[in-house]
Amino acid sequence: MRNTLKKPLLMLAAGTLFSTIALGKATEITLWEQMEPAVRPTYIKIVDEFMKKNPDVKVNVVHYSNEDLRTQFQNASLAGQGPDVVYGPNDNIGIFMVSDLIKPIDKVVSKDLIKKFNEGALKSGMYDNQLYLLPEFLGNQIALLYNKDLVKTAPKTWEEFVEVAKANRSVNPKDKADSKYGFLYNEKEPFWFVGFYSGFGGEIFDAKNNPTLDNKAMVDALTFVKDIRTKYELGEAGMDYDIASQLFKQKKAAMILNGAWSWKEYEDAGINLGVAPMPIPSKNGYALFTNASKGYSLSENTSDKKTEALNKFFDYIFSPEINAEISLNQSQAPGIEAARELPQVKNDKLMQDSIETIKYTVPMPVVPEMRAIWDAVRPNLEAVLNGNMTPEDAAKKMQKDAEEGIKIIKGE
Amino acid sequence: MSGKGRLVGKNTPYLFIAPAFIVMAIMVFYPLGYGFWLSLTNMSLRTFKNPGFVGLQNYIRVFQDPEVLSTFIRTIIWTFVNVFFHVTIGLFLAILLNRKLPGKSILRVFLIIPWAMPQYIAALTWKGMFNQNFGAINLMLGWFGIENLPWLSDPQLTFYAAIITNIWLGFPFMMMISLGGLQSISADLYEAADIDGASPWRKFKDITLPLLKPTLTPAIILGTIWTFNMLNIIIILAGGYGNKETQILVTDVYRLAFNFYRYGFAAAYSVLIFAFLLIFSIIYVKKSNIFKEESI
Amino acid sequence: MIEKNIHFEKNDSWKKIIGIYVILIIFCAITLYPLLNVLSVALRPGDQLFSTSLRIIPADATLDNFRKALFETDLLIWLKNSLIVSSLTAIIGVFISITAGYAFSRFSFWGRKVGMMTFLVTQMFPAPMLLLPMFIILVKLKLMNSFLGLLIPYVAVSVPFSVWMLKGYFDTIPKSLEESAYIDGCKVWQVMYKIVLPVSTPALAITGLFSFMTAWSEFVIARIILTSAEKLTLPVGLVNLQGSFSAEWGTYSAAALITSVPVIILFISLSRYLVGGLTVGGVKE
Repeated sequence: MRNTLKKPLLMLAAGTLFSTIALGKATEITLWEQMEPAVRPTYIKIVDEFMKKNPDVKVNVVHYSNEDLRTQFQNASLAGQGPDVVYGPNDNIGIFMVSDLIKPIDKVVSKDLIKKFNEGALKSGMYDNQLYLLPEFLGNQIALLYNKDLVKTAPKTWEEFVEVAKANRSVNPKDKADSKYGFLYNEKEPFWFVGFYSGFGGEIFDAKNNPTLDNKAMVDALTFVKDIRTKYELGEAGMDYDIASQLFKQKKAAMILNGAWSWKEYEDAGINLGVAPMPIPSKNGYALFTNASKGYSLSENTSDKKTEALNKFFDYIFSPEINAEISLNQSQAPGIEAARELPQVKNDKLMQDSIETIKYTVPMPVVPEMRAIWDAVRPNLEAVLNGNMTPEDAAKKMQKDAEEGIKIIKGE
Repeated sequence: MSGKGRLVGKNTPYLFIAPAFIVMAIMVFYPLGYGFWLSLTNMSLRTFKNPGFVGLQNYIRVFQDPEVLSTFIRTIIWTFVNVFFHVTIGLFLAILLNRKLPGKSILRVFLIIPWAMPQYIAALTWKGMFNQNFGAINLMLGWFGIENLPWLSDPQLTFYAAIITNIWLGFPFMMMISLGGLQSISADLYEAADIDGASPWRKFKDITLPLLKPTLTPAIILGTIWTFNMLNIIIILAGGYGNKETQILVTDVYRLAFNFYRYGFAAAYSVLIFAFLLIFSIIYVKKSNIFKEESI
Repeated sequence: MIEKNIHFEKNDSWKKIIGIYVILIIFCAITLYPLLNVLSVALRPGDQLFSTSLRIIPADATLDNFRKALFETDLLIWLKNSLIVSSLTAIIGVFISITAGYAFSRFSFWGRKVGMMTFLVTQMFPAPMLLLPMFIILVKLKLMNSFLGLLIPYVAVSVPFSVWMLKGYFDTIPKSLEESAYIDGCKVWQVMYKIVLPVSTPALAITGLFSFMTAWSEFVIARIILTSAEKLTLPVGLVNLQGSFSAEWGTYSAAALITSVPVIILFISLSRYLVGGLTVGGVKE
């Protein structure tokens, strides 16, 4: 059966080969991407248009979901295979760079193109002062989402916040599903928590990438998340992403914390959505969630012969209009500065929210050691929330766990 | 039985085994060899492309790890409890179903559903059911006056939740094996036992169990090996690798290899798991006597 | 009045029969409840994985998610691919396991015990660590992104169990029938196919189902081997439906339910053989 299939396939392959040769040799670029499902159809359409306009370049797009891209890229590189370009989150570049899987991208693309990027976005693609990733967008930041039908204006201070949240809260202890919540968030996920830690003035790494978790900011942040539940009676035990999200959609939660990737989903669900920074009782007054980017990196295995084709592709994909179109689909701030000035971006409320709340963020560290931080924070944060550990002890334990994890990653 | 020897060519057994063996050889032996080799190298993030040979250093590290023993014990508990309930529930249901019973074919279909459902979605569904405030489990426990257990935030309870989920997923398979095995037991044996006035328990112990052994033993050995190396359920329910108190050995291997990029170290871990399972299987096979050749 | 002795075991009392039904129904409830949970998610409008009530059919039930799953995703392509790969795995896997199992059960030869243990040994190494070398082999054999590249590892994964299971089952079949066939001058393979296999249908059904299910639900190997959208199998396709945080739970659940249907059909059609077997052949020692 395979043979009967193989023959026409071979002929088909041969056919395309001849036709491309006839057209003047087409350079093939293999691109592995990890895009949100909502963005993919638009993206495929854009790539097809590019190929129509540039018959000498063939872009072969292969999709991977989540973590698969990273593992698969590592596997393929060991086997001497793999793509020319990977499109993924910027926290991969540390891992890829350290294990020699990618090369600096500014050696291939023109200086003119690089100048067009937003400065913060461009920084997110750097590692050791070298540019490894061309950012499609900068964002993925968490912000306070409120239902404007329930909360008229966004609270500016923590006191206002507590007042509004309490006013919207009526919990029926017999049936938690039939209750109203003032404020909910994904309590167990360190990704949410580190926003509070930064908001209280904490930094995850020192200048030499050693973890700095055992300090006053950490104790403050841990005390704060505990207080949200016990002292202020907000949040809810065992709250996770899906339930918080669901209750918000059902208008049973007035305010939640969620990332830029999700905002459109709430508007589509009919929520009168407001987006704002999250006030906390700290010196600067707001939580500082992390920002991250997604974009293109160059595989170490890419041939120099493809430079021209790659430049054509990047020039096209990073033209302000195209960059805006892709970013609009996920309401993230475009990587190209000029794209932010286009009317379709200016008139899009969520895009403006996105660009606005980026101001209340800090860059996500891209060093591979970050993995150890997540693994160190999660169980100890959980222990504090369960009342099994004091914030002071948890901060100490986090530091210890993080140091051990980093030792393992470094292979010491 | 010497008569058959004449009719069967000397190479026949090997020819019969060859196809299965070749497939195994392609897909498994090289990867196994690769795994052993990896365990002797320092392959990690910084030495990803050119790992160096470090001898037994990774193995020494595994034994120096203070957490290894407790993880090992947890793995044993996980494996034993799961396999025990898979087999007992499966066998029990198979015996109930292996009798004249109107409507049993529809009941049999319902009982196999956990096997037919995609494992990933099943695990996510159970995760939802274990939610502290919104899950069905706590709602039902509430009827019996048990209040609000933090299933997914207390590591110990998360581990129990994973065991419950995995028992649910696994017993239909053992039920099927038992059902198939029960078919090979002749009803006459039970009738003869009835005439002798044997109790149900005696019939079970002296007829059912011994005659099920040839079919059930391979299922138990392999079930044990699979459960020992079962990755997904714990990770899905615990939401990751963070909490050491819910991890078993193989989730630790996964965390070391794919989160911490310590391929050499993880491979050494794997070789030790392999050695342990090998010893277990050899002992079990010996004890269960299934290689007994009196019938040949 | 139901004639008890016709419909039930003749020694069972009514009390025992009712007891048996109660137990079976309780277990059915346990196996069905999570499935109903998925059903209720699939029937609900919007994307919500977790129901916050115990109610199964939501008040605003809709089949929209099923429509979306069938026509707005590539579910039908994935179904087709999975059916091809899983059926071939089952057929090839069972076929080569029959001969191996028969050899282990009936012949005495050098290396028999070691050979059987070798099949077990292959299952013991933690699977995550085998992925990288498996990937390298498939690249070298140029089998990436092909069904054949999936088939080989799937058969390899399912064969050890099938060989052991069939060997165990063949062991329970008395040799007397084969003896007379040999005396009549039958060849080994004739004896195997004409005499042993017809009475082994329960074991064949189980190994077939097992091999099919191994391929049907396998996900980790499939996602490293398959790259082009038109070749994806069900599990990979389903997981791709999800984003990193947000997911279309309704569509996803509907798709998962549709996925279970072929398996249930397969099981129903195989169960005829499960309850056939030896008792039909009337072979006993």
